[in-house]
Amino acid sequence: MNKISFNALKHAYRLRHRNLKRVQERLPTGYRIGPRGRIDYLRNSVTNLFREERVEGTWDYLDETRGYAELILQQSIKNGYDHEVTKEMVDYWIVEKDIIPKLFEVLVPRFEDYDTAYTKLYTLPYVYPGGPKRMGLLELKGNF
Amino acid sequence: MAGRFIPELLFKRQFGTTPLLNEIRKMARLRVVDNSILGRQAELEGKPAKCIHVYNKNGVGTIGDKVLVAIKGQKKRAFLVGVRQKQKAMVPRFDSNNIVLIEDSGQPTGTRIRVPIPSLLRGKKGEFSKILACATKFV
Amino acid sequence: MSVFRRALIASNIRNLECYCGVQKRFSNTLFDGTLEKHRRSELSHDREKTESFPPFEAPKDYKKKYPDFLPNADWKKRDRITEKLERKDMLRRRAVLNIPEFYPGSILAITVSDPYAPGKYNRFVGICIAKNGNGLRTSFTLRNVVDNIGVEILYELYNPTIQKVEVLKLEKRLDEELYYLRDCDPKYSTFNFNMEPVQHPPGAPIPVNDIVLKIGPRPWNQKWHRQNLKGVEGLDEHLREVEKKLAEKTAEPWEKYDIMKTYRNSIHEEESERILSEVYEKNLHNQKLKENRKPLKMD
Repeated sequence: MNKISFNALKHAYRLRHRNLKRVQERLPTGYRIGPRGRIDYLRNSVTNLFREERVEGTWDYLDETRGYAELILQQSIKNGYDHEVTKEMVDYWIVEKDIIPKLFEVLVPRFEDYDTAYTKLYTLPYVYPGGPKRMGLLELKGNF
Repeated sequence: MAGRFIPELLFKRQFGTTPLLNEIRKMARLRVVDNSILGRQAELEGKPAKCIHVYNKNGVGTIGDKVLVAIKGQKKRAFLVGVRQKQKAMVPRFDSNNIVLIEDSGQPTGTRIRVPIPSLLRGKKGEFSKILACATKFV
Repeated sequence: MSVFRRALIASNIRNLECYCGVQKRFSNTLFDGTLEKHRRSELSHDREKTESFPPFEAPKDYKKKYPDFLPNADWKKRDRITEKLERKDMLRRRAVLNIPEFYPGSILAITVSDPYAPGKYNRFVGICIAKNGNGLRTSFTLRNVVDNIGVEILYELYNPTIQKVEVLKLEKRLDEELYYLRDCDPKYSTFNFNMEPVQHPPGAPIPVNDIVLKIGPRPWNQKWHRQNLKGVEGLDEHLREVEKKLAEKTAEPWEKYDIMKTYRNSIHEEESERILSEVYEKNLHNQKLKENRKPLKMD
């Protein structure tokens, strides 16, 4: 994975990762926390985005998934399924394996000629009385 | 907008440790690299020379520093001729801490140094010129 | 002001900074973004033309030949002006000294000017253990075993006292850093000073030496069992059960797949292409000057 050459991301990404302290979830094997928990959470989030194509949630957590989703799409479009490193990466990041054919047969052809980012992250309005969290909506462009 | 949080400084209770520095201080074991009988015997016995003083403003010795060493029950002066510590650019770093034993008069105890010596020691004057005469190879 | 309120403001400023381009109120550094904005502003008196990207596309092997021209991936240490000036200096040095392509695992011979040596030059041959840094700070370490003692010397690539850099054997190894050679058999770090250079046909792919060495007995210089090394084997024999369990516990297998982390610690294609095409343009320019240089008139 260290030898991948990435192209520039087309959205304003945060220069430092977020630790995602609130991903705690009780699993059969124990709690899911820390850097491992963060990656596990993001894997599920990215898979969910590719399945539903439009996801609502906390803005910060969706911003984290956005970067990973964009990079996965970028590498899949650039290299295709027959590339060893891309295959390994996609196999890890997409947890539900029925989404992998969807990625390469539906999403890659859709985004092939895009010059802009593949996703868009909206900020949802605060509904009175509301809470302190900023909610967001992350969607893959062209998801009608 | 921003969530609740606690300033880190109030709840920090940590201490730091340094990585392995390989410094030559008191109690450091040193390897004698000349052909003196004393050095050879100490090596064979398994009781290498031990640094008991570094002739330096700070107690850390580097290449070219004079050192007082306890070897086979006696005190002897020596010069550091190779060091395991990480060095600046162009200065060689050796896999062992090497010393050359010296008499009180300044004459080296052995006649030959069986190990390469850093070339920068050639610029040192005084007591070093006698040691450089014994050297075989420069790195 | 209470401690909590001060920390709240500080963290918000830190958050904004993370999105780059927002200056702290009391800092004395000028961000690249603000500088560029004022250079191109329509209100300024002498409006500078926007930088036109050179039409030259650098050949594909430039990334391998000139990796030291790429800047530091850490955004806090980036300064476009310093980088540009450094690249200029690096090209000027390269015009005088031939710096060949090499990797950790290659065997090099370096000739350095030494005022105390009899011939004023000092030559050292060794295997490149590591190559670090970028720009004018690029450095590499050579290791060799001379008279049964291991010697390592760190050289700065752009140091003006370096007279000659010869690659005796161009090859790669399975790892990027070969510090484990310190704990392996010394015969794997021994290279003859009078070694004959091995010819490498230009344009050919760089051979990878698949050798897997057996690690020596403990004590080790570093915790090799925690480093995912491919060029060493036989680590388990020297480990205790406790150490093996701790290694499993502290291992981070997910780090390999953290693509955003890799992205943040790298220079993306567009930026590296832009920089290398600049280097290519300058190289072509210098070549043209060389060709057009009139021969000296000897009277």
